[in-house]
Amino acid sequence: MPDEMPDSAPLLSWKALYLIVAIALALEIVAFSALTWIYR
Amino acid sequence: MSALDWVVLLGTLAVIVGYGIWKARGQQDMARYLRGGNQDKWHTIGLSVMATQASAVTFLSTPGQAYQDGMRFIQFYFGLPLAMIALSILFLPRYFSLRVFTAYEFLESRFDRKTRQLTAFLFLLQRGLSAGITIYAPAIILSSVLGWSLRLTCLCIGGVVIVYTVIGGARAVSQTQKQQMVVMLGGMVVAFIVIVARLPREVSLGKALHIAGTLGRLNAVDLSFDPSARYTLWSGLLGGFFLSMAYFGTDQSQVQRYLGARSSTESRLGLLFNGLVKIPMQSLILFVGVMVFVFYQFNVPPIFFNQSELTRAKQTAFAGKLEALERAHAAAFEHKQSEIWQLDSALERHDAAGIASSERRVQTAEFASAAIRDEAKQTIAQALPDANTKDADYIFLSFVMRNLPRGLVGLLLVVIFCAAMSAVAGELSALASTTVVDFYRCSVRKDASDAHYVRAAKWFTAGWGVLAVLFATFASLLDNLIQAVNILGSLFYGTILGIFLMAFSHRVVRGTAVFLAAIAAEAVVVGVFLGTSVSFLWYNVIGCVCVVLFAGVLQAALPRK
Repeated sequence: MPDEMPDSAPLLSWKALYLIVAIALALEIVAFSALTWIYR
Repeated sequence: MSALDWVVLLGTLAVIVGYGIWKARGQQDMARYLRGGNQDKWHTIGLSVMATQASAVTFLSTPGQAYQDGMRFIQFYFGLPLAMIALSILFLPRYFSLRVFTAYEFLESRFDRKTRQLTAFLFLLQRGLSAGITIYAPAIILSSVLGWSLRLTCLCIGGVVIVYTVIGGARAVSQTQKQQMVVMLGGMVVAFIVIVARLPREVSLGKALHIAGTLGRLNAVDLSFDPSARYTLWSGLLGGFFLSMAYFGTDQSQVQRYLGARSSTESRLGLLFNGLVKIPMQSLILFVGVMVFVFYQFNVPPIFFNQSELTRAKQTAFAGKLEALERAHAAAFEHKQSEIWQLDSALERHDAAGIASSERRVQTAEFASAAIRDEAKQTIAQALPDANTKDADYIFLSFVMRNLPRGLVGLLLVVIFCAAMSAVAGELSALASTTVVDFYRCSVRKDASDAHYVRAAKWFTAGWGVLAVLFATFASLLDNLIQAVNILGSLFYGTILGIFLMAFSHRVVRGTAVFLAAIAAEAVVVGVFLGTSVSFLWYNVIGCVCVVLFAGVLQAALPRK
């Protein structure tokens, strides 16, 4: 196994990456709720 | 199928499998064979994790589900991105710091061997059975729609996977999965574009969505708190979170994928990539089903999508009734189509009152059409008591074979074969590594050489593969067992997740308390399954919470050594 690289996120911090994933989920739920509501 | 379709199908599969074997050549030690030599970057990990989860049924059943029931299935995936974040923080650093080959290896370092082997055994049981179903489920549909032999289809899918998984191990699996996932996503994007292009010129994407919405196919989010409703926002977020934690965090077929990463950083990025891309990918597959539904508002759909069963039923005394129903179905279609065109013109005029009244008439026409289809299904059930009258799984492939141009049919078949092969390969590789690492090396041959264990892993891969193909070949004799296998996953995942959560969080609780708590929690989950109508997503929450609670109580009650 190659030497373990330091566990740091490239470009952004891990917290920022987690936040991006969580925000994307929130936006997806809002978008699907809007789809359901608009075409109900 | 045309010659061009065969060239596309066989050519693409040969290139992918050849590339995987070439990239994985010369795997001589366990770290290389079972973890792929830790060479994979984040994009390989992300695509490989997605390909392991996406079986052929994902691409065959999901569009059919959207066609018949709308978009609500998307809620099943709402807990997944949150689980990817939790796994990145809680599970992944521990696996990497111990440099384990399997997830269950970690449990011995934290608890004891019996807890490790109980958990590994539960994995082998559920995954060993489901590997056969992963081959059988697409084979039955492909053989029915394409007129191929069921056994030959099972042998083709299983045989190819066994060859490249045995030769190349985990690296061949992840390398082929990366290519397969790209083909699968590309194929579905092309299918979506072609279906939209084949709608009548007057029907824009916006109008298509309006028609789908009027007929209840865009009902993506359900806010109700009914625990028996299969998919709601809450069961998707909470139950889906626990299910995803268990599946991605403790199922060796997934853990093996990200243990093959170059570093824990690449592994984390791969999981987060899965968290970002999974819902859009599933949305695309569901939207393909919705667009097939809209397509069939302007083109007469079959009254029953499993044509081979319909043909068989027409050879019985019920032929006359079925033909009468087909005529009624065609008339109902004509009526519904004229109502849809009136809705279209009301939309053109922006006439709110006209739109509302047209929508009601279109809905009434759809109920009438659905009632005729239901009657046809009942008639087929009377004509053929052994027939499966659920035809949702046949909708997409039947549409592809009837309506897509040459070449594209081959591409969509590549998508289905890639999905079947990627899921089975991940399962076989994980089954073999768990058998070798958690049982053979622990309890049978403790001090053999690395080369010996690699040879053993190859034999176990082949053995599990042959078992899966045999199970798939004879699965048609075991219909009730198949149903049981489908439920098996959710019956055990909650308990397994509970064991891992105890391992990661409570240093005070010991192995015996967790072992006994797992058995008691499993009894509760089975009781809920047998005695209530609670939706299966909640089993994951119940099993996990029970392990945590029972283990805490038992640890306090058991005498300390």
